[in-house]
Amino acid sequence: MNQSGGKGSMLTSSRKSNEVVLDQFPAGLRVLVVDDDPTCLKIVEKMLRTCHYEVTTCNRAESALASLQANRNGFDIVISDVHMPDMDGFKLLERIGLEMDLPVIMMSADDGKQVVMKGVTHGACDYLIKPIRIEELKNIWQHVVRKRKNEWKELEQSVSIEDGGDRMQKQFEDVDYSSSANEVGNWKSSKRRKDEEDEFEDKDDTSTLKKPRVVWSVELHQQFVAAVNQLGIDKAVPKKILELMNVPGLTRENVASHLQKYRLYLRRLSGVPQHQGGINASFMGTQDATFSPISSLTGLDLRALAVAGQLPAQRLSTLQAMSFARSSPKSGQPVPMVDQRNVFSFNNSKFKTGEGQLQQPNLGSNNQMNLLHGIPTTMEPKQLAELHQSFENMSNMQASVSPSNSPLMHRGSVRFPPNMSQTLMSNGLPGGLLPRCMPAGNGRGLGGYTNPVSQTTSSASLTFPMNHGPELSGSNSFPPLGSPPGIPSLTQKGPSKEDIPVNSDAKGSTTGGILPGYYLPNDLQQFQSNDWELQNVGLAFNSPQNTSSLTGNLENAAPLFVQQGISSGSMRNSSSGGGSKGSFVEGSHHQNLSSVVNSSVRIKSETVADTSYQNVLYTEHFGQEDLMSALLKQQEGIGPVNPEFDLDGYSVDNIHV
Amino acid sequence: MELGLMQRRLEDYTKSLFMEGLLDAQFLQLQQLQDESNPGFVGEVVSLFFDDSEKLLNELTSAMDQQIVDFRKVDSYVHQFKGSSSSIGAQRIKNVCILFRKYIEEQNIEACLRCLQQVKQEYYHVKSKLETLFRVTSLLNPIVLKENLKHPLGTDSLSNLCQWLDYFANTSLLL
Repeated sequence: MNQSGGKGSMLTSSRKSNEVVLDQFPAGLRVLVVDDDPTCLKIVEKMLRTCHYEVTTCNRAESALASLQANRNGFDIVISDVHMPDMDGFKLLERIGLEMDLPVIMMSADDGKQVVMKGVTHGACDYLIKPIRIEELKNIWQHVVRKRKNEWKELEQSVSIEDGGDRMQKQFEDVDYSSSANEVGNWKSSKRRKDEEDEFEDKDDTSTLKKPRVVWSVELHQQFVAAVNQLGIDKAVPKKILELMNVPGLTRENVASHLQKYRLYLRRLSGVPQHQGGINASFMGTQDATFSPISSLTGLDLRALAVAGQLPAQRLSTLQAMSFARSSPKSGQPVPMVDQRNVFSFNNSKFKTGEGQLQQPNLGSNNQMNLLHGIPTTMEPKQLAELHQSFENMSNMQASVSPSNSPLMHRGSVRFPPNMSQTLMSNGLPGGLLPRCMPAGNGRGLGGYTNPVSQTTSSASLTFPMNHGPELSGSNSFPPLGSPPGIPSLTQKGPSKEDIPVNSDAKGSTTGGILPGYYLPNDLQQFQSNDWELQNVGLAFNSPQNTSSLTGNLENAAPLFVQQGISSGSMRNSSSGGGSKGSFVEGSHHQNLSSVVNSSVRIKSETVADTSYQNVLYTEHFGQEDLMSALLKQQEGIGPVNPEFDLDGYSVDNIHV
Repeated sequence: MELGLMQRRLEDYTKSLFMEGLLDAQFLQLQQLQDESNPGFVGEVVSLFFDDSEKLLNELTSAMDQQIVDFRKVDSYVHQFKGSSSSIGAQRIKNVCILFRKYIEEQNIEACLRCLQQVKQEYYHVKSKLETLFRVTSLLNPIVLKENLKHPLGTDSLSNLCQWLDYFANTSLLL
């Protein structure tokens, strides 16, 4: 009885809970979210729960991997942040794809094209830009379905090419597919069934039929790697690997797809870190002399030689390594690295000719394979794994050092041999060939502010809050919506954000907690300063006693306001040059005034703590603040006063109803 | 007690936060996520954001304080801040972060320092606004209200709230 994952379970399974889950697909989809930002993590988690998914969260990539490894079939999809302190998100992406073969969605606040491209090339099935909206998360199940569908298609193709078809496998895939994609995939699976109905013979092979996706444990993977290495990359065909591994229940197709991913992974490993070229060099150091004359050979030539049997596979790899090590003096990114990625893109584009599929990609990945596992095949599996691990560590280090400015970026600027590109291009390669011609320093930073024009302009206006400060403060009434340039972000946010439905029902409602009605900017015309007056009139609370206390407070407050106006002005001026210190007025103002009020209102005293905290950061401590502006919203725009700017915005005179 | 009025005032207050661009539609998303099963969701998220941001700002400050500024590190902090602030809908902070990153790329230290100041300003600004919002919201919460109505007028938090709100209204009038 198989206990593996829900979505992959068989219809005939006795896992009743999973059957229930299947019926409700995509509800119950098991999602793992990885993000070091706790705010975002919590929000995404909540959103996913709202979509009726089962969510597990991790704030570190390592723990995510551990969870995945511990619970192989426990997840259907992974969502990961790109920038994480302990491991690059792309690295995690690869690891997951390799080890667990789960669909991975990347997310980031970074929407730069290069980064998104990187996600695509690393095999992410989607890339979400933060802030994430719930609508984007609702549809992630499609990636689960799509991935499975593609996997089976691949396997079927190779199967049919190979040996006329393993019908067990096909049927298994069919059933599996339909069971996991009830609502959407049924029509597809039934179509498939029709096509292969006649081929469907034996249902009784329970081991293949009932087995879901193979779990590539660490041991299994090591066995695999050992087998591959033993065979040599040229000859590492799934059938032979399978034989060598001698794992019961493992099928050729499992091995085939895993091999594919492995090559992909290795290619990246060798391609990504700059100094891996150095590693290669040192690895092959002892063979320098022997191979030096060959350094002029291009990767393609080497391959051709190997194919022609002129070079033994191992030699080929070392030659390649040497040529790699030599061919890029500066960046350490040998051209063939690019080439390999293209070759591996080959795999992605399903350039398969049965066993022949292993030829070129094999050759291309030769050097990584052998680099990783040592030149001689006499290394023990453990050592191989260690090497592998150390490579990964190197990659990780490199990656973590320059997550976005990785040599992947540089790669684009490395010379790109026209002959190779043509050769590869002619085979219909996808855009993985496009050199990423970015200057080194730009990495991820560039995209963030080239794309959203609206944001750029609003941020531009933010740099000069002095512009909108005085405008807002100058007008005594709350500025009518839309007219003052002082509210740039609002108008510009229009296009992208106004689609969000306004919870207008919440207006004045008292359901549950009081959620104030939120109005879209366009709805806010009603908001006029005279509203405040009306409300004041409406308050029935004006007992003389209270009034006097209020007045008392007021009298205390008023001079404070004035003082504060002056003092903060001087503070501001003095602090304008103060670098990161000081001029932080707003928060402390608000905090402090509310603490003034606290004594009479018994509001929570947390603000006091906050104030003191801020004192730690900021030396200036302000006595008061016109909290009134906070509530009344007359002068809110005064808020972010630029320290360089004059204090006028805070002048008491401007405050009025 | 003019509960409806106070609610209205609270709504207007919130509205104004949007108007000013302090908050954007992402905050609406958060609000929509909040429900009976998790009534404090927005507050929790925002608290998380505050805690995280304080740390981040500290680190950012010290990174900028170095003799030789490690721009990459600074960039990663700013990027992180951009992500978290955009996640809760703190639009202005996000916008400053975007600008900040531009200056980081140019390695313009002066401009970066200004941005740092600015981002802090924006942060504390929105923080205080949100804190006010949550405080008042919790005071106006019907459950709280029900409790308070049991007590004599003079001491319940509701009347204090009215007092408080009125105080501010009046101060503006008087000035």
